[in-house]
Amino acid sequence: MVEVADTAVRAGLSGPRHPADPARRREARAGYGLMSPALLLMVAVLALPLAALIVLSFWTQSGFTLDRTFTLANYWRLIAPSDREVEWMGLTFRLAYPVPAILIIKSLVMSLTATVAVILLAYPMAYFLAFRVHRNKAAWIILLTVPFWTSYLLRVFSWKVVLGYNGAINSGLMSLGIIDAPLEFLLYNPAAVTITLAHSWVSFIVLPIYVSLEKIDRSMLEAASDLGDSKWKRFRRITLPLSMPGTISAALLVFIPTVGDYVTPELVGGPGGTMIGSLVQQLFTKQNNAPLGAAVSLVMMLIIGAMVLIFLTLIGYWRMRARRAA
Amino acid sequence: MTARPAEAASTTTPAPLLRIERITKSFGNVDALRDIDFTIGRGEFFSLLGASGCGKTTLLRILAGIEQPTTGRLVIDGQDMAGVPANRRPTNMVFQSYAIFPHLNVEENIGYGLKNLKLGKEETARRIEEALALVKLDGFAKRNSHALSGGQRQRVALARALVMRPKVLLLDEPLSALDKKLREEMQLELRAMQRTLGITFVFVTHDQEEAMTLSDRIAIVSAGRILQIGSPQDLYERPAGREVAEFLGSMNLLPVTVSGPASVDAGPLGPLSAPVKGLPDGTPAQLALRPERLSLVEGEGPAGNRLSGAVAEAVYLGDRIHYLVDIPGLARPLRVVAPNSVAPVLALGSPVAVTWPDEAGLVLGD
Repeated sequence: MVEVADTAVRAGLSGPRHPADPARRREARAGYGLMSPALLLMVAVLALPLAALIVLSFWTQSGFTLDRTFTLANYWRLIAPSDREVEWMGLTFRLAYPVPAILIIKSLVMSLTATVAVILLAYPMAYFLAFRVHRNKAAWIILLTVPFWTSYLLRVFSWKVVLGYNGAINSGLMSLGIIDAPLEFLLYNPAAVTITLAHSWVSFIVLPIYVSLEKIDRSMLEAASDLGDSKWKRFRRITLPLSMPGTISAALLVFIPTVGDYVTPELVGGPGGTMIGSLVQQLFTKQNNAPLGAAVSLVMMLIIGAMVLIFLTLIGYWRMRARRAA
Repeated sequence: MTARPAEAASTTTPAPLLRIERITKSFGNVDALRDIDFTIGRGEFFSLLGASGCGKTTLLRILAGIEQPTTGRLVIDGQDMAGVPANRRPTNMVFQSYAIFPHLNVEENIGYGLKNLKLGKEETARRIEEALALVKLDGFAKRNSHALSGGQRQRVALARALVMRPKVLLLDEPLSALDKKLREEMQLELRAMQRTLGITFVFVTHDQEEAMTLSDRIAIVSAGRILQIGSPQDLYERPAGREVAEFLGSMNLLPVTVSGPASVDAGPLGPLSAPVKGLPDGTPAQLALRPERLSLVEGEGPAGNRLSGAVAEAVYLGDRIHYLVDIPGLARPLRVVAPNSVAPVLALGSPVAVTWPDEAGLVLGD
């Protein structure tokens, strides 16, 4: 994410500086030429559907008739206040239709937890791979990608087998005599969703973190030790900050798609583990209210966008401040 | 690692600060260092000189504690360094790549190690300022490390190590990435800095001229062994063997047989006079002659050590002229360096005699 923004800025700086230069114009044309297949695909499968979604969110639907007059009613519905109080996890909602708001907050919390778990699991693995494995690195990397050889759906299902009523954990504990009856709190709750999400993404996230660690010049680490750092201090002062950009992009790579995940909560979440994706799906199908579904997904998208932006700004600010303070 | 007074700059017989005792280092089956044993004096500028891959950098890294010796002992200032990790050694290193921390600015880079010394804010700031002045980077404190030139990075690396006031400063080819002019400038600065600070410098280089310019003593390293240790003058004028003789400067080598305490037999070239030390008669040896100790005379020339031949090549270099002289009966032409005098440059093919005083010849056993 950060790198992408960087490149864009650089490209923007060098692009229009000499607009009259014919060589540069030729280069720009060649660039667009190379980009055009991807660009066309993006327009066809991303920009156009997104535009359609935006348009749809300003319409209304009742039953099977679509009312094409422009209205903000869908958005208003998401925030319309009411005297009725709804309590959820200690939060009080005074909304006429509190379900989307609750699910949005819940999705964000679950996905943030999964992201933190993924980073905490993946970072040590990447560290081990980058600094402790000297021989057969390729073999280790292939081993890490083994989970990708099965489908995402199968991996989610296998968690059902592990956590289920007659699953691996319950039968294992029972045969050991630790419990008498199967534990029911393992499956069909937010925790199960978070565990499954974290597991599905870990091996995916090890690689970008590994790359950022592998890039660190070993003489930096030697220099830090030479200047009196213990191993832990050196990790905190050199390794961690230098691997931060890769780790942050990795975190965003987990956070952004998991907020809207639909399959995992459907399969292992049960009624308590529902996330925003399930609501959108229901609005589009069972509830027959595509315009409201469009509005919910757009609001979700804006919130994620805003969160990522705030996060990146804070990191930039924090870096600058750290520099000034030191 | 507290502040110590600067040692006297030049002591005639420096007390050993660093004792390297029979150190070997193996990587798998490869011996990188074999039986290294010598001492380095307090306040000395000591260079490890050798071709790349000879083991000099490995030795430096052992001194720093980054590598551990396979066998042998290292004592710094009376303290055995076995089991002392790099971060607790009284040494600091200037890395060949400089290893400037990219996420920190100049000031933070230089102050990096000071944070571990816990000197307090004022003392830390004072030392950083001092170090910046020492390496002539005043005003660069807040500069981003990305925005530094090669020479400036080198100075930051130097300041970052010196600010720790190490007992021994280790330098791993610190000047090799700089262009010639900057390198020569930095050599003089380094030498001056070492004299004023009185810190012991151990300097690794493959550049013999650099080693000679800077060092009090040089160790010539080859294939994991030390061939000879001595002052630049010792090594140049009294090389212990053929390898050292050829490594430092340029040397003519003539195959001879020892024929007396002050004479050798050069086969078809006849008898020659040279002081022979410790080699019995009949030993095959090499007569080593420095090109600048040889003289060229037109025609026959005076009696004494004299080889007649013809000029094969003359290269005019302004302050001096390099000649190659073909000697009948000698496989390789003799190299002769003549100072540029009023006499004109000798024409190619002109008959000449190469002469030298007896003491200019050095007889080296094979």
